[in-house]
Amino acid sequence: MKSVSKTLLKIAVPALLLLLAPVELEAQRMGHRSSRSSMSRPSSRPASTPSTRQSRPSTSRNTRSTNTRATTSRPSSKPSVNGGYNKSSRDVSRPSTSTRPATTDRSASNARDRASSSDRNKAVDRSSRDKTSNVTRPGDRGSNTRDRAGDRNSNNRVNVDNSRRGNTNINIDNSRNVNVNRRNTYVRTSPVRYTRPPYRYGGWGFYCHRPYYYHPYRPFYWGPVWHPWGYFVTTMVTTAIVVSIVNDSGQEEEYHYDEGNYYIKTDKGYEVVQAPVGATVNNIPESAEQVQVGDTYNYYYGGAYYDKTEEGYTVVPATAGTIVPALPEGGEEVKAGDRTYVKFGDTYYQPVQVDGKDMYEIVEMKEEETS
Amino acid sequence: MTRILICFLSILPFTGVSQTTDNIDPVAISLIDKMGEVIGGMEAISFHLRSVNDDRNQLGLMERTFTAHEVYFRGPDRMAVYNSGDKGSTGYWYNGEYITWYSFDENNYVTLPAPESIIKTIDSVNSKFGMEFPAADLFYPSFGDDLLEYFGNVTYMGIKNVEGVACHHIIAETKTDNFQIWIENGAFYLPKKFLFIKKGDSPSVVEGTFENWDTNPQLPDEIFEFNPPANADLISIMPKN
Repeated sequence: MKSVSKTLLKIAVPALLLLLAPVELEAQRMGHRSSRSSMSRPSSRPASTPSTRQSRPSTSRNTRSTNTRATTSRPSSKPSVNGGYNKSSRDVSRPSTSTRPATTDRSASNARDRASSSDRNKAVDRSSRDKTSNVTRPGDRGSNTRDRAGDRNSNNRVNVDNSRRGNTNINIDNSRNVNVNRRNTYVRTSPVRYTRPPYRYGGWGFYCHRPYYYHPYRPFYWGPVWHPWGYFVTTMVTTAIVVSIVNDSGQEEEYHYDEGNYYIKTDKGYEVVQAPVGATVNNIPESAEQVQVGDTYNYYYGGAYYDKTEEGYTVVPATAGTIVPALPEGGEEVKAGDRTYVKFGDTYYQPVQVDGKDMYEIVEMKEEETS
Repeated sequence: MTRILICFLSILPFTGVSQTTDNIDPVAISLIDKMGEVIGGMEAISFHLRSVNDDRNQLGLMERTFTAHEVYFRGPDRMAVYNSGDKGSTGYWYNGEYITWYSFDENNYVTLPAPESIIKTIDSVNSKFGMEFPAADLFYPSFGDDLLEYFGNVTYMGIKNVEGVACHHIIAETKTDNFQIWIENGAFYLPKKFLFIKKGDSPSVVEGTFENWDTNPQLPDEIFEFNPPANADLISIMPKN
């Protein structure tokens, strides 16, 4: 009996080795790592014999991952481009999936990756990364602010005419943010029907009459008497007039108006703000331009739109489709999908080209169903 | 591409795409797994990709666009992508902390804090801002699972020749979608080509062909750092609704 057993053993061991050898040789040839060497090369490589498709030696997965490949396991410091392949929910009838110890490997790998990432991040020079983009969405209250201290153009574009104002102490408070009042930036629907389909992004339709033509946003300055929003003076000029309007809450707001500029009183002085919708003034600067709004015209100056009435010039909201030649300071360029718009509160301007000149069209934004 | 698959997966419960008639070819899945495991085991890769997109344009017309991509991954948290084609020239730089999306045409860029890995970053900025990455689906660690979860029919079609390279051809299909992939019949089982066809009322086609795979590139930190060119503007970004 013993001799029979010995004979069987002598036959069985080489046979077993012969069976295992091709698998191992193949795995080494393919350079698999033990933690993920769950599959041998498909036997159907020539691929013309469907019958071989079921011959996947799936049991080798367990054998390799738990035993024979342990000594060649992947060093823990090696990070994967995607954290390692994950196939946790196989539903195909493959016996090996139920016992595949992949979960442990993956979590270990992820932990390694995280640790590695953390270590590596420490070496990153953060000094050059002190500025990131503002994430802003339509209707964001207070999102459309600009840190004037960091404004790339704030130092060389403001022209303060001290001679004209005598001893008036004029300066720009760079520590302030310029807040765009949404009430003054909502957009009226275009009176002209759109023939051009909207640009769609993120559940919004951006309607315009003219095609998108990018040019960088560079704030325009309407001469020495005009001041950008946020401009600050300690005393008000004597030529200013007081303009009062009633806001949406029924409260009266008081502004000081002088040569196209609207000021509000603050603790320390007066600050230039957006033209308040509803305010009526007797005159506006001569450099105001007529802009077409459907069949009529508005006057445009310093980012404000005016209707000419019997009482004078009344500040009105922007109307979609209106083309303006330039935009004041206070806007921000916003990437929406592949396009870049200039945003003032709720008003989005699309860069366009008209007769070879760079201009902006007021966008009509409509919330649309996401497909 | 990622958006498409995510979209498909999100509508799955409502469309009731049947899984009861599953016809999953084990050979096809084993090849997908093999490809995934090879990619998942790599520490750094680089490749070129030529993509063709057929989609309805702004005017409602089917339009074909071509883009060439140059992609560099270094695990777990470095990525650089250069895109050039009919939709303009753009680039992505991800250094483990921030991702920057730069437009060569407009000379402006968006920089955002990013998650701690390539895949999480791709996932995050795609879902929030619609940033698209070439062939991103194939690099998801759960690619095989996602394929099985959505497609009830995955079939191995045999060896085919793609631009002189022998490849395993696999087709996955539902009533509304068709996905095909050609995996190189070589030592690394790398993807050579893929095709995504969306059928129905608003059809679209995405096709990509890989070239110049480098499975062990030496990628220094510097190539993943974005240095703004002169006069480039850091701008804001609007998230998807």
